[in-house]
Amino acid sequence: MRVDHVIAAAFFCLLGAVFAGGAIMLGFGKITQPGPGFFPLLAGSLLVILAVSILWKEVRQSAAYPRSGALTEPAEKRHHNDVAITLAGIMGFLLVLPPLGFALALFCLIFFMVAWVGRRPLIVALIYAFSSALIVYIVFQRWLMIQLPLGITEPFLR
Amino acid sequence: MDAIGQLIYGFGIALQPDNLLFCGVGVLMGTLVGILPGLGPAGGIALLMPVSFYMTPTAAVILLSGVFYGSMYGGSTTSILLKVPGEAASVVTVLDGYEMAKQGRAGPALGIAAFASFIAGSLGLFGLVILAPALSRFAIRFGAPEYFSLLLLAFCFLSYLSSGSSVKFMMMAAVGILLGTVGTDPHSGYYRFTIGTDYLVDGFDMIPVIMGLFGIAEVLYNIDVKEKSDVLSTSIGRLLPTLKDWLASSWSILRGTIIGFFIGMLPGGNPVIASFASYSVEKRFSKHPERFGKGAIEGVAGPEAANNSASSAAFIPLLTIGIPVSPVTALLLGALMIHGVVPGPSMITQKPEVFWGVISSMYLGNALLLILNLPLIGLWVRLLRVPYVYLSPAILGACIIGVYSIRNSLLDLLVMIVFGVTGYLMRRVDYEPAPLILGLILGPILEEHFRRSLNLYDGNFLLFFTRPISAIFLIAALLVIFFPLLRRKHHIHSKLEAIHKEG
Repeated sequence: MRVDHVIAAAFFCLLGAVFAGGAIMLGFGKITQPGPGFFPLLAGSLLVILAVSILWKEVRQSAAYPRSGALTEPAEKRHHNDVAITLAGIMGFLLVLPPLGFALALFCLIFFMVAWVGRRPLIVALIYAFSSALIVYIVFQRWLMIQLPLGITEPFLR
Repeated sequence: MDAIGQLIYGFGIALQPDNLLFCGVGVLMGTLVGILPGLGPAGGIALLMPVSFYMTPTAAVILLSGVFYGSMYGGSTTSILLKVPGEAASVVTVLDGYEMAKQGRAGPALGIAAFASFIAGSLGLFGLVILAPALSRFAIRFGAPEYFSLLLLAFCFLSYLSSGSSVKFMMMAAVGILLGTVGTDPHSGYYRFTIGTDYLVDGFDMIPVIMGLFGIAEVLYNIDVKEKSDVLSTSIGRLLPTLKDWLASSWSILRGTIIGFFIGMLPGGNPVIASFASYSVEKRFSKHPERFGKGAIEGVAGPEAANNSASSAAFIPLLTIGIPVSPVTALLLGALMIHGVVPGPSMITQKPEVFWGVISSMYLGNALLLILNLPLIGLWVRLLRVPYVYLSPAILGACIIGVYSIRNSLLDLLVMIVFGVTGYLMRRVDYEPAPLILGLILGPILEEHFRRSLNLYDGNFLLFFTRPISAIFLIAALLVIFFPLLRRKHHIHSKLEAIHKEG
């Protein structure tokens, strides 16, 4: 049984059930005059049915091929840690965006990704991050006049 | 005004300096996303959508549609040089294109791919000019029931023709439809699934969801997998095909154009299917089918013509009926709606500058792609060698800027990240994000047409079957759903009979 596939199908089943339940509370209306819950109930019910069919298929395949190796895909080398670090970097960006301003926050994010996730020399990461942030500032804030927060860089960039 | 006169009018719009500039930017961006594995035309359109807010509707659609058909050009470059299709529609080009490159014929492969794309794109536009007004006149007869039935048919076709599991496709479409119901119900004014927040009163904004699913998710997935692809070390050499190459390819280009055009127009038809269909036909028609897979130039010319022709034809139902035939054209529909342009039968008369301007710009865009891409192939090859560690922050930065610039909202960024993580996890368990976007964009339209039909016709459910055009669409949808099941049942019966006879 592919555990990750089962979890995914169970999640979608739950999601469909939650929406269907909420739709019933909204009011189904009449078939001839649908209420606000009509369509969400249909779509939610469809999602539940389809998710259950996926779960059923996984269970049946697991019963037919009891050895888990029969269904295991060849292991690819994965870099989950790098994904988690990247996500942490993006969340950090959200936190520092208001105080630091867009250009400086972006500089920090790119530097972090190139140096830590990409494992490049610090000087390379520094140059790349600085150039990217500068290009973004010139193109988006100066040329296209898109309003992006300046934060602590306001005295220097305004 | 006849079609030719209107086309000339359209050229007048498309040749305006700013529209021409945006056309160039769009096709170059499209080539770039086609070349860079992982982003795709949907991601490219999503990245440029916020930028397009500051443009006129005509310029915006010219820019974004340029990304769509430009990506068809770019995808073939990586297929030929890298054995990795930069875009799904160029998968089949790998089979013979890469073999040609290994034989030292990368130049002619790239050249014939570019010329085939140009010829097919131009012929496809010709077909669009002829058919679009006619289809538009036919579509005037469509009411809410016909639109509902046609959209349902489109979902069924897309599900049946999807590369992965049809069940998973429908699941994702259902999720998209559910997400599309979040917000204020337009009929009753009730808040639906807003969980008490003001942010969701207007529903999910399309851009953060798209950027998350196609941009952030793709970056996370590529960081996770870190596939290494080596650019083939071969000299590109002469790009212009020889006379022998032309003689070998000309019929393939013509057949590919026709196949791609008709497939591209259908709901569910898309450049990917068109390119595969063309390859199958070329192999079948060839006097030496054993050459395919070993560097047959017809195996490059036909599919490349087909995918470009299909991308032109996809605009026919989009602009004349307002029905997108694929997730990418659904994004273009979303872009049109954001700019207040409602595609449909009346678009030709109410917004002729958008309609004919976009069609004419596609011809110019195809010409620009041919003129620019051949000399720029060296640059694209160098770009392919840039390590992903430098590309991923650039893509992330573009996604963040794109989303944040909409309304300077941190919540939008958070939504983008949530959908980014969701998209990444979905990909790991073989769920495609494209149907979710389709459901998100088309779901509200589907619901609107359904409820309006019942309101207008006093709740008579049978109207979907008593109106002839609607009935045809619904019956076709039912056939698409049940035909595979019947085939499977017949297949199982045949197998059982064969086993019984052997026993």
